[in-house]
Amino acid sequence: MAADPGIGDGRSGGLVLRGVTAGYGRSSVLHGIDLTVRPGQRVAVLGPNGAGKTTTLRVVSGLVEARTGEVTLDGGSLLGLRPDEIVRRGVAHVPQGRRVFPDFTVEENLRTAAYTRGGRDVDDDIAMVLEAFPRLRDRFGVRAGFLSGGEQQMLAIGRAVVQRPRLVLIDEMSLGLAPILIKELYSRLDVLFADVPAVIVEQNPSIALEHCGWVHVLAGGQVKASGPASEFTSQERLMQAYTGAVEGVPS
Amino acid sequence: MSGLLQALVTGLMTGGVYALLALSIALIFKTMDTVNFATASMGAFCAFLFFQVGTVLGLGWGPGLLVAALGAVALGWAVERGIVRPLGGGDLFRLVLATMGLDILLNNATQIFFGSGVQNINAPLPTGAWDVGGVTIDLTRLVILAIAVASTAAIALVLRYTNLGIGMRAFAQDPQAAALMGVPARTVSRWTWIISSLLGLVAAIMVASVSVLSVGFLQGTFISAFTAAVLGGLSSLPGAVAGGFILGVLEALSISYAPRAVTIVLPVLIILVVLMIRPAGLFGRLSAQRA
Amino acid sequence: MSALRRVPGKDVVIGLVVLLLVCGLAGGLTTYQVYVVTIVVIFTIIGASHTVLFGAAGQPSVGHAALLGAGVYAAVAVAANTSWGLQGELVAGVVVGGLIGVVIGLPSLRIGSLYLAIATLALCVVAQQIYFEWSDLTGGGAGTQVPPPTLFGSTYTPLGLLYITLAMTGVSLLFARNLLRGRQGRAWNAVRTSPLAASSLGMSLGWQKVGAFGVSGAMVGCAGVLYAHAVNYVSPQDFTLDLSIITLVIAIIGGQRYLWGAALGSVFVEGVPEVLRATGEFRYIIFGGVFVLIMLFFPEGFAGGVVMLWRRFGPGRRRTAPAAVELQPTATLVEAQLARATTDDTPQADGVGLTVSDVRVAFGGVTAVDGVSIDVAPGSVVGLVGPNGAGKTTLLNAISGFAPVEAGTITVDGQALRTRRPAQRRGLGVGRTFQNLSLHEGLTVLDHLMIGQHSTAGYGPTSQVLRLPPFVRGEARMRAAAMETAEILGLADLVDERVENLAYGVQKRVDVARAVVARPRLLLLDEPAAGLTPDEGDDLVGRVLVHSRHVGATVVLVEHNIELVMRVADRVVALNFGRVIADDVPAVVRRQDDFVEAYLGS
Repeated sequence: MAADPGIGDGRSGGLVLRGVTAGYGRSSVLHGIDLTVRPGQRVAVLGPNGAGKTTTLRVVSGLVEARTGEVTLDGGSLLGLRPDEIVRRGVAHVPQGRRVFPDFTVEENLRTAAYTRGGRDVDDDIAMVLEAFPRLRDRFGVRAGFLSGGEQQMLAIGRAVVQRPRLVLIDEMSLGLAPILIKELYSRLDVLFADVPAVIVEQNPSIALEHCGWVHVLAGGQVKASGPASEFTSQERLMQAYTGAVEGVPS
Repeated sequence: MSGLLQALVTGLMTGGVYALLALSIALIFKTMDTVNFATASMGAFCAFLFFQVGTVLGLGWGPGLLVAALGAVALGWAVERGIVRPLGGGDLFRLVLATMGLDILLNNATQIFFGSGVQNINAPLPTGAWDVGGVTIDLTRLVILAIAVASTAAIALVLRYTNLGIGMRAFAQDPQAAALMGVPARTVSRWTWIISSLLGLVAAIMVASVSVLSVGFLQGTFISAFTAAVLGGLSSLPGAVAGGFILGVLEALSISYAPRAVTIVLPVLIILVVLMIRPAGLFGRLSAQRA
Repeated sequence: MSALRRVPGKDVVIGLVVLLLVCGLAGGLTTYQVYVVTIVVIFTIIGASHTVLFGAAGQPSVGHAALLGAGVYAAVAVAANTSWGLQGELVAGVVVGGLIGVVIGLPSLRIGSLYLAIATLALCVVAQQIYFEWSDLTGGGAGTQVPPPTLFGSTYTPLGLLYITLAMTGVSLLFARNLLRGRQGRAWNAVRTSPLAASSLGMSLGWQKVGAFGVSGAMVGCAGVLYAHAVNYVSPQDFTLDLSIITLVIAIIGGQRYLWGAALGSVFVEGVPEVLRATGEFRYIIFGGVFVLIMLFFPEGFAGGVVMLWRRFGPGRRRTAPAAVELQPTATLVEAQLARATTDDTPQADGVGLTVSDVRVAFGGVTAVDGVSIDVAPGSVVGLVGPNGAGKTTLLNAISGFAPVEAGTITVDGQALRTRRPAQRRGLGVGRTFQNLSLHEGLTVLDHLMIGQHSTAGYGPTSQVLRLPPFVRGEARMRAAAMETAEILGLADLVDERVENLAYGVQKRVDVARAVVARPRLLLLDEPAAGLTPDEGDDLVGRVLVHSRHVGATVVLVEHNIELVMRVADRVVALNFGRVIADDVPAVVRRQDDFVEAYLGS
């Protein structure tokens, strides 16, 4: 396992999580997460369901409060801030299940994303989104509830573009989508968020490995393995991290 | 024929007030998932402020309106800060019951501050009536209808085109997704209560100017407005407005054509029938589906 | 509730002493004071009726003024037209109140509690109008005089009426108490605190509420008869929405979860304003203000506050926090547990088989389960695995009746399930747990284990109210079964603890224990280890499987901890995109390409 490049320079920039524990109600899901995203880096967070991937993202964006540990973005702590304050610090979170506003049109959804700027200077951003996802141009005045799952996912990513983030969190982008669409979405990410550091949570490791430089594998609420994507291309390595099993993996 | 037309016209005019108060109720329900049972007493309290400053102190209706509006803003803010936020997104019924307690408190406060007498508000509205082809159109009520329509339009514009309005609508659909767009829950909650309180004030002054001002004078209108909101599906703003006008017309029709008993229990009958047959209201639809 | 239950009957003795005390002191009161006390006592009954309907069953009603009016006018009608006397009036009041209560409750078979509350509001308004219009009986706006009460031939003074009222209050409260303590009260509490869990345990949400409305209506009807004679002049103007709200406020301020809270609330709402007369008009402001403050800071009312203080400072206070869950230190807890079970246990009964054939479930265009066929042998443990959105939970929902099956058949023990509701499936021996905890807040671990046996209690409301032998036997048997299950699941030391005081890992055990305590013959476990540390998860699954083997249940285990599933399951079924991609013994499944691909992508 390669050394985590973020350790020791938590003040220098990017996103740093240290010893984060969190949960819902009395349950605990995260048992001490250490994770770093350096400026410009795209990181995949993999792991079986229930590993705490989504919760990790929700801690960063303030939807779930961390119980212990620290979370900093470019040196400033995010702990104790409300989600809307964290958005103002430049964190865009594309949540699981898209969560587009079903009664808003595509346009209204995109304009809502400029809320923190008072809804101004949004036209260029919208143009950029429509260029990346021409299908949204055709559906511009349609209520988002009537879009297909793929279109909703495009819209959800489009909202993050309009937010002009310093850090993007994307949760389970590929869930329930056809493989060809998944490929398209990932290739657009490369363009739309070329310089923006990103944390991408995925159930489907192979596609994430293609588009991310660094990988953290979560299981049981802890980071079980970290390293460059190239280290995780073999199935054994992943399956081992997933199941904790040392035997029974096809070789 | 002209009797029918007259009932329609009268009904639309009454319906304007119902629509406005129903809008106030539906706005709270849509964004905050609760029913504010103090809607009537909040509006009535501020209408008394209007009367006190404008007529009793003799400062005229302009300052009266200003003070009443400031009172409505302060009351909306105070209720949000003092009751809604501390009770948090917790139990729906606790909040509903707390607004019932507030209703008792405000009604009695009104009585103590302003007395239990019956007042004439003397609103600066034109009087008289037009006769259009055998149908009498009361001028005061016509102006009231115009104010109701204008207020409704103003709310619609705020919700549609201001940043705050967009935030409120986003919050109503999905509070968490709205937070992720940077919409602060507190701001939305605060302004929802303030706007609702202002709507209540406008409705209260309008009702008072065609009837009288006394403690609890708005309760009957509240029941009708609530019926209208239920008719419209409780969480649909256009539904609440439409429900207000429909109820106004139905009431006027039943006054003209149905036995007295029917008129009296009409709101209740409507509520029961709507709840049993279409709990989502006449205009309620399930939100466009989410994947 | 639980604090008083430890010494059965102590609460009854205290209640009796209080009643007798009031009786003894009443002789020295002025006529007006007698009137005030009578009103306070009558409103105690009404408050207690909210304790049943709102406190236990969770349904707020703002229609109680209408019910009170029904009782009042039942008394007026009987007094005017018959010579039955007060005893006849009381019977009429109880019957009329109960019937109207049931009728108001009926919509709950169709609509949720918020809408039902609105319907009660509507009822309150319409009933008052009816009372106004029915002037032959009510005197219309002018009101009507009520003759002094005549009980078994003799006529009573106001003081005499107070004695009668106290006696009736005692009877009403005892009736409510007996209903609340036992199967019926537990069912109401279960429906209120977790409708999902309640319906999976065989309770009909709608009918439970209808019953609560009937009981509540009968109590208010009884109060109405007494009220008519206490005020001796009644007008339809009395039965306003405000009166309805005040009765609800009595219950809430007093503490709607406690019957004796109704008495405190009634004293505060009906008695204190009389004492505060000196403060003039401000007393209602004080009253409204206190109500809002109570809502903010003492959500459980006066009684809740007293109980809290008693727990903290009373003689029975707990000196130490409940013990943490003890875990054996090895990571092979499951095997240890199972080994224990195989050596010293033979099943009490046989599990049942489950056949799922070609089942399809779709929501709004998304097909979550797409033609799944699974055959589960009686007594076996089958693991159901797959990535997010594979359709595992949906399949469990389809089997337990929470999701509509579009095509295909599901049979349990040879019986097709298609049209049966969750409650009926429970009767066939299907038990399940839910991914998220759905515990009953405010109730103890033992309460949960008793609630779990709702459908096998073996006695009805009549035995329960009268404390007849079937009730006594049923409770004893259920308690024994509860203790056995608590023992196996490691909860034996915690049975008297309220669940919200327990650590998450223990809550999860309680959740599972409630599902298994009634010995289901097919147990569906939905991610029992979610949110637990690996050791806790192992421990819980191990204990449940021991229990299942002990009682002889077939188990379907949905779990994302694949490694755990592979260790305990006899067979593993893997789903992906709503289809079965692997179905074999664990050792084979984990080597199948489809299975590996489903997890890792291709």
